[in-house]
Amino acid sequence: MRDHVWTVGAVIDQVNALLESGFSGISVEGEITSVTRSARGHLYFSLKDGEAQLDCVAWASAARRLRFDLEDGLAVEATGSLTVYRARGRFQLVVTRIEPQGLGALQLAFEQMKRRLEVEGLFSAERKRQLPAVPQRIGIVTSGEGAALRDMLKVLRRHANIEVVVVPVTVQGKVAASEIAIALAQLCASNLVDVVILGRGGGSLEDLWAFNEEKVARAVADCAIPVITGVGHEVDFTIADFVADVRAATPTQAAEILVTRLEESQGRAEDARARLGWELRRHLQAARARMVAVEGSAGLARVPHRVEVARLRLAVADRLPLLLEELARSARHRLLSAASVLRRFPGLVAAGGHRPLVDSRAEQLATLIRGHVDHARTAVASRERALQHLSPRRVLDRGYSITTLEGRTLPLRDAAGLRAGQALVTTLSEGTVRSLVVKCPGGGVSTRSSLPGPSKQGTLFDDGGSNDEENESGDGGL
Amino acid sequence: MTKKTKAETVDSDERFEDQLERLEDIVGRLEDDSVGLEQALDLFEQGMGLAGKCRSRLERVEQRVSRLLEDGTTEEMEVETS
Repeated sequence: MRDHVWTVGAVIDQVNALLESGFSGISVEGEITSVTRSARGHLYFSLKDGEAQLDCVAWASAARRLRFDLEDGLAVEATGSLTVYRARGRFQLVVTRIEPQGLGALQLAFEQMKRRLEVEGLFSAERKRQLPAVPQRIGIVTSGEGAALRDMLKVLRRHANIEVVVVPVTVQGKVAASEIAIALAQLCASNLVDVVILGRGGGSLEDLWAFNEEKVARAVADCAIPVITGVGHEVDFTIADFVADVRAATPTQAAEILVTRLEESQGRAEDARARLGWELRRHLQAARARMVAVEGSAGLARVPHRVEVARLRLAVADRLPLLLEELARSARHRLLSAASVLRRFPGLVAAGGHRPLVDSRAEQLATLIRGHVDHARTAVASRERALQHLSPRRVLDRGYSITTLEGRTLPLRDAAGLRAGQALVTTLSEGTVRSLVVKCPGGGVSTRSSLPGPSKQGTLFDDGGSNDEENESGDGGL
Repeated sequence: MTKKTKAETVDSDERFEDQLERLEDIVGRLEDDSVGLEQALDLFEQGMGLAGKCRSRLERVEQRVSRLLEDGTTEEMEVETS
């Protein structure tokens, strides 16, 4: 018996008609495998479960709508219609929609993007730049209408030295990613700002989606200026957050971070400035204290005299050791010669009975030495006196002079008792000068025509000096 | 991915950091008691110079909010801060 004979085309069409009525718009779940994409953008893949496999195709128009990438092993739910592809006779599911199983499509897309960019190195810590120490010029990319901008400006305006440049953008929907990317590029190129805040208020994963898109991620990565993101709420992490140099939990926090940084730099500078002043004051005070300790007040006036006394003492002290050494040497010499004498008469010593002789000799030596020491001491003492006596001579050598009334020996110190016409003798280091008083504090002109005689008081130099001629003047001597 | 280029602003920022660090270093040296008065005065002068530069840098910018236009210029922007 012969049944109806089909042509190839006809039988396929018939099957397709049957499929259309029963298998249009069905959902099939399975695991993705063997994914390929044609030059035109059509996606070919297979769905399989344990034992069976079904070829699938998503035409370019549907493939474009996919939010995530089809990966081998991904469990999905595909919606479409079963057909037989006429030209090849291939039984396939023409897919119009695919949803991942388990994760939402967006979440999966997020995971995939994150993984991809991380592998590329866009999130690495080495890439991240430090926020500027002085963030005075701040760029903001955000919605022109939202609360985020208002909140950020409220924070930034607290600081007197901050300039803000805003680029308003759409922050959700189809065009958002492009606008954000362009805005970032503009700000970076403008050279008007030191740092950029990329901000957006809170929303769903869908709302924030633009900040997960590759375009925005790459714009943040390419920005030459540090970018700080403040997107959504505390818990929201977007791809842009991972790429950014710094992530803030919210837009407001991003602004806070920058203000704090600026205030820190200011604080450091002011602090250092203040400390400079304190430290210098401290050094000055220490120096002043040292000077006062050395000078004293009245001490300053007496320095020459004190130096003189000290110098004398030093001179004497210098001589004493020399004298004592001389003494010791001569004593030693005597002992040695005594010893050599004793050696010449060994019998004397051995006899023992001559111990007293040796003893008395030693006794004599000791007395001799004592005598020498006493003599030396006296000599030193007298020299000391002499030195002291001589000191005025040293004063003269220094250029001072000593003035006395003619015939007197006591140096004049007070001009008050002088009268005009009196004769003065001035002793210099070399020579003397005789002069007459022209004018003195007392005023007055002397009526005396004869000069007063020498005074009763001792002379300056112990030369047995002149003495007691009566003082005619009766002015009580000087 | 394009290579990043240093903006002018980064250089001047580094200069500030550098000046601030040198200033703090000078203060540290001044804290040493053994420094003589002459040297202390010298350090003080240097430090004040740096402090002056830091201060003027920080006061260089005045408060202003503007919008960036497409042609790259800016215009003053009014935003309510309610």
